[in-house]
Amino acid sequence: MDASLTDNRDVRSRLLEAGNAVFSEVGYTGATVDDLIEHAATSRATFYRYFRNKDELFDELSRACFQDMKAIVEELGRMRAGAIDTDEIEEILGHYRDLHARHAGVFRAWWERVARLDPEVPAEEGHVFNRLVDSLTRSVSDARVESLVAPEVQAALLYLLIEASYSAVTSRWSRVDPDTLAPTLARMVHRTYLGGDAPRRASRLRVV
Amino acid sequence: MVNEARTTATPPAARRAPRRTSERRRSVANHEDRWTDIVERAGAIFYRKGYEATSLQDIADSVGMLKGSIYYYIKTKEDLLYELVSRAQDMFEATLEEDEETARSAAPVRLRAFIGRWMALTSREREWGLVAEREFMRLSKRRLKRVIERRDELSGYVKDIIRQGIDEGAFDPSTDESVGATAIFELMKTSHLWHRPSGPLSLAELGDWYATFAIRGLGGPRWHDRTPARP
Repeated sequence: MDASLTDNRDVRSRLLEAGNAVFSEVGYTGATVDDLIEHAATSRATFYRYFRNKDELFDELSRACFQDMKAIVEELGRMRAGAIDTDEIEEILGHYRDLHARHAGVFRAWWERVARLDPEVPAEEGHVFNRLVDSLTRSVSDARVESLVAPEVQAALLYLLIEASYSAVTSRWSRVDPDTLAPTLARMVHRTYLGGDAPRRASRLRVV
Repeated sequence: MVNEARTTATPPAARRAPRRTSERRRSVANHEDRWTDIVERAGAIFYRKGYEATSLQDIADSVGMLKGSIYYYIKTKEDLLYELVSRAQDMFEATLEEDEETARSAAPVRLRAFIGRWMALTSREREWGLVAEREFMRLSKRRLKRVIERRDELSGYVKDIIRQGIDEGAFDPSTDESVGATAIFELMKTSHLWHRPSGPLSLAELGDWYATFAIRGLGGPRWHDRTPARP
């Protein structure tokens, strides 16, 4: 392979890595092209050879993230009442945590973009999100929790809850150990959405 | 205007005494109005553009004053952020106040009441809360310390309720109360990102669902699930 081509790929992927690191650290709105080139140890001219601006770089990171999310969507779709226990939910949450860590910059940026109500969410994001909500809606409908809140809204909230919780505990300012999240969150989700039973009152005594 | 009563600080400049009393009284009132205006406009711009990307010039333009005049109220842009974060924390802390009957109630009742109070914050108040949450880490060390202490108090309140519920035998004793509190706050905080007041669901109805999620999720008794009647 042509040596200059290898270099090009190198710089390009370095810029993408820089994007993920910088967006996760200072946020999407706070990040500047200068931050990105400094982190990637390259020049402005080089940056603009590959990307028109930070939005374009973000869109590419975002596509990669949503590509990875498809696997999680399949897994979350398996969360059906009576078909899954808390251990399995914990395992799925563990995978979600890995995904979140791998694309921390995208998720942080995504929260900010939503916050700014940016209408230009790429179609692919919408597609993955719709599939996610569709499969969770089936689980929520199965659980038959009576509420004025429509099952698809409950499903979207279930996903937002998982995502927002991981965002919160992986932030530098969190007092909560990310390792402790999955067991409690899995039980909460199981009981609310998947018909899991409340514990018996004697459960504390049984430990003793 | 939102929060007028809970204003935490008077701009330093407003405390400087002008020459005559009547003049002073008028000008102090003017200054406070101006100051409130500046803080509110700054909040709206920080929300839209982010703190880093906002310049004092943007804020001055929005208020309709010269940039130089803003320095009459603050020394740096960070002063404005701190004011905003403090006001957001004031209003969050106000949601911790319980009436006597609620304070004596069982944990699920207190939790549902708290979620109701939090969800009753206006969308603008929540916008400030979001700016505060997103940007507070940019404050100077000393201010950051104070802000973090106040954040801990807020989550500590919900953790206490969860602990009370565990002691009363209502909630699952294997619950990690920090995680429970995180889940509840995060769920509430996502609402204003997508909720439209013109939509079919009111914030109160949504809050009711959150309370059901929280109480049932923590293993609380079913009889506390107050499911609203369909209209």
